[in-house]
Amino acid sequence: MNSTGVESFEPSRLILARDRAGLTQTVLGELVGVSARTIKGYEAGSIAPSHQTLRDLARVLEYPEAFFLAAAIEALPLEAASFRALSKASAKIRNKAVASGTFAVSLLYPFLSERFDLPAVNVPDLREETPEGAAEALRSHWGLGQRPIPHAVSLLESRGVRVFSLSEDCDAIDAFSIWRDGVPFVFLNTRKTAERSIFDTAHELGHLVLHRHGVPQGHDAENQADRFASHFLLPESAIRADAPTVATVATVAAMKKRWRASTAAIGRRLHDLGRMTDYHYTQFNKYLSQRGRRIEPAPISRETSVVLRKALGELANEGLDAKSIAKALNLPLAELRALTFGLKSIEGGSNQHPSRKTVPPLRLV
Amino acid sequence: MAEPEEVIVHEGWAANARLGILGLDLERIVEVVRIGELARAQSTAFDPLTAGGYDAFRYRVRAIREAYCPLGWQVARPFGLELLTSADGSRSLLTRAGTAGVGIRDADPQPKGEIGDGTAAAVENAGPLLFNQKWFQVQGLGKPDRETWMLLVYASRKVVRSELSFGAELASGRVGRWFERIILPELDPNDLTPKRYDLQDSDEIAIDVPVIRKKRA
Repeated sequence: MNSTGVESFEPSRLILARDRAGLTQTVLGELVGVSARTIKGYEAGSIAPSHQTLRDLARVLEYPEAFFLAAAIEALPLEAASFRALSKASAKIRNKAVASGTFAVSLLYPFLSERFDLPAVNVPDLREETPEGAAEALRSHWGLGQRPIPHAVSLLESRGVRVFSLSEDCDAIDAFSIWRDGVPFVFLNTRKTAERSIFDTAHELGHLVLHRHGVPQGHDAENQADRFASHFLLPESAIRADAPTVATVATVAAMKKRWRASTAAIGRRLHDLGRMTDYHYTQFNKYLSQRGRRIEPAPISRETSVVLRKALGELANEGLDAKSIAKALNLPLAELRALTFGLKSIEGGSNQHPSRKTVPPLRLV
Repeated sequence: MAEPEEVIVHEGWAANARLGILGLDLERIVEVVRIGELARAQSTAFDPLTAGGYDAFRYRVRAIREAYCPLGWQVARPFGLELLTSADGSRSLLTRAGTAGVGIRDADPQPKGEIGDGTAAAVENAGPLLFNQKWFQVQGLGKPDRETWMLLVYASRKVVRSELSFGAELASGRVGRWFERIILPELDPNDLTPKRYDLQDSDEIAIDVPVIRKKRA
């Protein structure tokens, strides 16, 4: 490494910060006044930036200087993550999302697990099953019967899945999941509707149980995860029993209260199960399209991580607020917010979200 | 010979789910019972004494067929019984008036009056199903090709209780053992307007996410 550069500069962190910013080496070089080749050298570890260039990198990328001087971070392998709506996401967007996931897996999660005992992992490997069989097997394994799932995120968390949110600038990605050292992680985009996000949660759970040892990419894997999610959230026998005599948008929307899936997903399930005729299904979808697909009838509440709320809430009570945690992790506060569903309740003061004011104090169980 | 350890009773969501597996649904089955009771309520003091009970039976039989024949079920009349049979013929339903134990979890419900030859044949035909699936596997037998469920209805002036149950064996003209009972929601005979039954609250999944602070060194 160049003797005039900052010795403790960590190349892996520059790659991650640049991925998060969505910049090419050339553009980053132009912004800090060095060549693309120099940036390449920084990232390869063959040269190190000067103190001034380090300050410029930190300013342009909006990371604290200390971030670039801490221990190396092993980036999550892009190919090991499964992306919902893969076709919509460019490589740049996927890199951005995976870099965010890397911060969760390599920085935030170790920080929390050092301080808290979190639920043990209880996610079986069901790769031998069909998606429908896996959904039934998992419901049975988890003792859920045929009942509606009242909160998908906390259900996953109670079985040891670590759930984080994706930063808002990853709009083209719905969700992704990954196994890391025997621990399953799910990342959810909070800009989707609450119903869509719940389906995404179940979809990623499908990847975790069906594709644990494979490379879960491609249309087939996404299709399998979709089938799993539909069967897991809306089990056949219970949906058959609960189906209204005449399935209209109004009667299907009433089912949402119990099943917490989108009107479109329930409608499709009823149609697939023969409880809605082709004619009714066509009319049903026409009506939904006219309303706008992003406008859900009878919208339900958004799910966020219970683990994060409890753990960060407890740390806040001890005086370690979000800013302090971000500083301890050498991350910008925005990155921490992005990973924690924007849980403003841990930040205190005037940033308190109005809707949080009515939430009772959290206690450890 | 293996015997079931206990009667399997489904209530609330479990009833709803079990009906779904049978290709039925709670809403339609309760509607069948309600239609029968509406017919019973039409009888007056000038009718023959048995008219109310017969009308309730008649309209239940009609209503259950009208509800499920469009979904592939079929009318069948073996042994003089009025049955509704699933499309593949593996499952049949008949309806009977029942005793006061109908619709009560720990009671011993029975069809009202002595079981006739037809019903007895239906129960005995389904008898092999009293054994569980493992028994069939151990014996190297396939699953029996028919099961007969009884929609039992008990009606008093204060309450109408019903259940869909699967008799396992006959003893002294009675159903000696029930294999499965699906308890249906009660109806109020003084208010037979249609209702939607929300069974969610009694049986919700409880999720606990323990996050425990480690002791600091």
